Amino acid sequence: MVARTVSTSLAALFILSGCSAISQKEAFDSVNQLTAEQGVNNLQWIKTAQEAQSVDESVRALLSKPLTQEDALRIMLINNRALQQSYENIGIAQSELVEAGLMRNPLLGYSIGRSNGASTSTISVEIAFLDLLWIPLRRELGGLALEEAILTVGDSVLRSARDAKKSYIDARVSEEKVALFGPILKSHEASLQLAVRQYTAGNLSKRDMLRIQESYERARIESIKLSRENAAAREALNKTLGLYGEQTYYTLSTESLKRTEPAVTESGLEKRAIANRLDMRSAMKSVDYAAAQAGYSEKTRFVDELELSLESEKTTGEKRFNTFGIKLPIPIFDFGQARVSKAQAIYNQSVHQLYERAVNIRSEVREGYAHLRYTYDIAHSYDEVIVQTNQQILEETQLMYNGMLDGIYELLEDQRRAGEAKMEALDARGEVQKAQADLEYTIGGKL
Amino acid sequence: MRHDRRDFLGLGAALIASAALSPNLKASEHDHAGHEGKKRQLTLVNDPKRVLSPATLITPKEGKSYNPVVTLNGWNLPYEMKEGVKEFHIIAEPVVREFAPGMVVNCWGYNGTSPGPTIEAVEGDRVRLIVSNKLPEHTTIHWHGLILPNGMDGVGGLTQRAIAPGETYVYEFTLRQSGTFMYHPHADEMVQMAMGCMGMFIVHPKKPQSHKVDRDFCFLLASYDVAPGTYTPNPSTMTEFNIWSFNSRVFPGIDSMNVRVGDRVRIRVGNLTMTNHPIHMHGHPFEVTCTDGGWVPKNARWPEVTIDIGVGQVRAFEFVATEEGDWSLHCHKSHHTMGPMGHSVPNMIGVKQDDLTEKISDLMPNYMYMPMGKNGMAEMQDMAEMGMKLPENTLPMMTGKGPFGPIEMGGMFTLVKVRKNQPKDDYSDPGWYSHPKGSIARKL
Repeated sequence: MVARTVSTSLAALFILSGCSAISQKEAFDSVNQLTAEQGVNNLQWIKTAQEAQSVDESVRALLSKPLTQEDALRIMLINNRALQQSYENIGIAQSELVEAGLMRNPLLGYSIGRSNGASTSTISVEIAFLDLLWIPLRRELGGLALEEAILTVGDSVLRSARDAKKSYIDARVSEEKVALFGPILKSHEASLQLAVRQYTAGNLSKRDMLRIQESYERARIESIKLSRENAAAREALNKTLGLYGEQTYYTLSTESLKRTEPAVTESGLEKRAIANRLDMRSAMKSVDYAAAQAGYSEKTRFVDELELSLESEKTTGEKRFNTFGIKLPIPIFDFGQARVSKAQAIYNQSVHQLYERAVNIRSEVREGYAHLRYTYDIAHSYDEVIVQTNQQILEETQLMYNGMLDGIYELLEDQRRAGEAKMEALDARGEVQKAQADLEYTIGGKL
Repeated sequence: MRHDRRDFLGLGAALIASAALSPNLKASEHDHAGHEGKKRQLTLVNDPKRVLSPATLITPKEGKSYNPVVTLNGWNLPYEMKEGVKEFHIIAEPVVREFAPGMVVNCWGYNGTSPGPTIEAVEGDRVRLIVSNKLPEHTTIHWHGLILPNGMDGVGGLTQRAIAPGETYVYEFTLRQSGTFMYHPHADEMVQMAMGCMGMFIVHPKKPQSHKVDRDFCFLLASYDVAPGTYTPNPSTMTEFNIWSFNSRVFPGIDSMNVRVGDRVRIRVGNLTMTNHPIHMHGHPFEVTCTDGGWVPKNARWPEVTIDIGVGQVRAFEFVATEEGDWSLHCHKSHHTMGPMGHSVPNMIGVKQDDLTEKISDLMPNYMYMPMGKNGMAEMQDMAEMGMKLPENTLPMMTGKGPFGPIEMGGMFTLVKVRKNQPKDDYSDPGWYSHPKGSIARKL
């Protein structure tokens, strides 16, 4: 009977080991598929030097024209090395899964003893037989772990996509602000030139001239700060896109940043988030994993090891003596209750974690929606009222200047205000785009 | 029977007036983005195009024992005789006054105009002044300079209860003196006078022969603070007025005073502004013959060419028009002969700006920027003539075109036109003076 069991088990063993788990490529394809559902596709996993080179070429092509947000995202997806690192987690999980499907190697023993001219040689084979029972369980666990890894990697792709979009907006906004500040600084410069001439002509007190000079210098500092912010924002983008050297000479597109009005209500977004968020789905997998793990502990509670051995002993001049042996632990001291309760605790923990995550995600959706909505309203006000009103104020001041009712300094000041309004409006529009990127990540899909 | 300027000027006059309104005024009808529904309403006027351009109205002499006074860009209030009493109806109410083409102001006044019509009577007359209050707050009328019973003095709270909105009060007294007087509120007078509630009260001597002149003009000095781009005077202003007016008209929207060579001319000026005004006339020395205290004895008069009129004072001066020509008559404070101007405009005299013009223009691509003030402000008038736009309802700082070029005036400025061939009793404008050959300053 034992022999039969052994032979069927061995047969099963080879079958199991033979039909190995899904390949890394398939696993990566499922990441691609998951993220494509949320509008991020054509991921590329750099595994060879050739692939690295083709990525370089694609990046060069994408950088050769003014960089749009879409192209920046494209570059990030293929060229960001942090993302590549996370892809390797799939490789690791997949390898672990393969490993989980393998029997422990049998132990082959040989011993020889000599006494009084007679020698006894023993050949033995030991097989951790119970693996046969546990392999399907371990494989299940390994499969769950791989699925979880796929989901986690997918989530980090989407997270990186969101961050790339935001970095791009920051770089665009800070660059355009530098440009918008140009006329403002020039206007301060004109004020100062006039003031110096007025002072020289004896028409302005030194104090008033110095005040204007001080304003000019403050404006110059402001301009330097804007350049500093621009440099930082650009470098943040470079890091996200994985760019260095000559690659960093790209220009940004000047297409104006759009401001699309969000839906009037947030209804349905929470449900979408719970269903689509990959980190949510990966947390669900963790629960499954913990459950499977708990089941595994339960099953292996009393006996988790069983070794079968076959021993063949030959003593000189005697008949070969074959022995079948079995080794199994006797649950006297350890009934496995500790392992079982630990597994249950871990399971319970993961259930609570899932619950907490769901609550948090729902809150993030509401918060993200509110943030987008209010940010949009602010940007709308800037675009439709503040900028125009400042322009109208400037036009009225021009009329006042025509009538000698206002002087040149008021005229230049209102011209600067109109310019500052444009900068604030740009900031506000950038905020909308960033809020949108945030919310799209939060709900797991396009708005 | 109530009398109102609107009764005198029919639709014809209204149409003529509408042609004189500048595009600046029309701008007030437009809605501006961001101000939906906040169309500016001019008080009592639904259609600002119908605002009348007030010209001097000449009161017919027929049936009068005196030579009626001519109220510059104004009119005299008709009366009715009721059992030997001259009865005048006065309605205090919000009005719209055109200060000059291109500018109308939400004023308070009497019988449709600000200043109100001149009340004219004769020494010894019994007058009944029936005052209705259609202002949004209470008012009274004080008869400035007249000798009358204390209870007729019109000081709210002191000599009478103030006239509440909708109420009508009657003042009645006998005119015991002749001369030049004024009427104005004495209840919240700061606001009501800043809004234009005022008028002249002329009492002719009982004897038609005494103090007789051929031409008798009168007007009030009034100042307003109408910020550029607005329509309503700011009544809280104490010193920074920007509109200086003769009878709430400003040059070149003021009629000239047209006389015949040899005429004895009297000009009566009352000051209800917050500062004194040295009124100066070109070409003729004159004598002050009357104040709001009465006639100046002949032997106490001395010759002048400028008479300083203090706050709350009246001065009437007389001269014989001997010199032909167009003679300026104006306040000698030069800022009072200007339209609205920025009091804090930077001083650019002698400051080179030409090379910055391009730089500043680049900053405002849709605006035709011009540097100003380097060589003075005379270029202001050039710019006004080039059609440079000004804020809504705002007059240029200096304007007026004469036969030799820009006059560069505004505010308290007008002309006395003396002509040999001006017909007797004809007050119409004879046009520009044609100078005899060799009598004009020439270029060397």
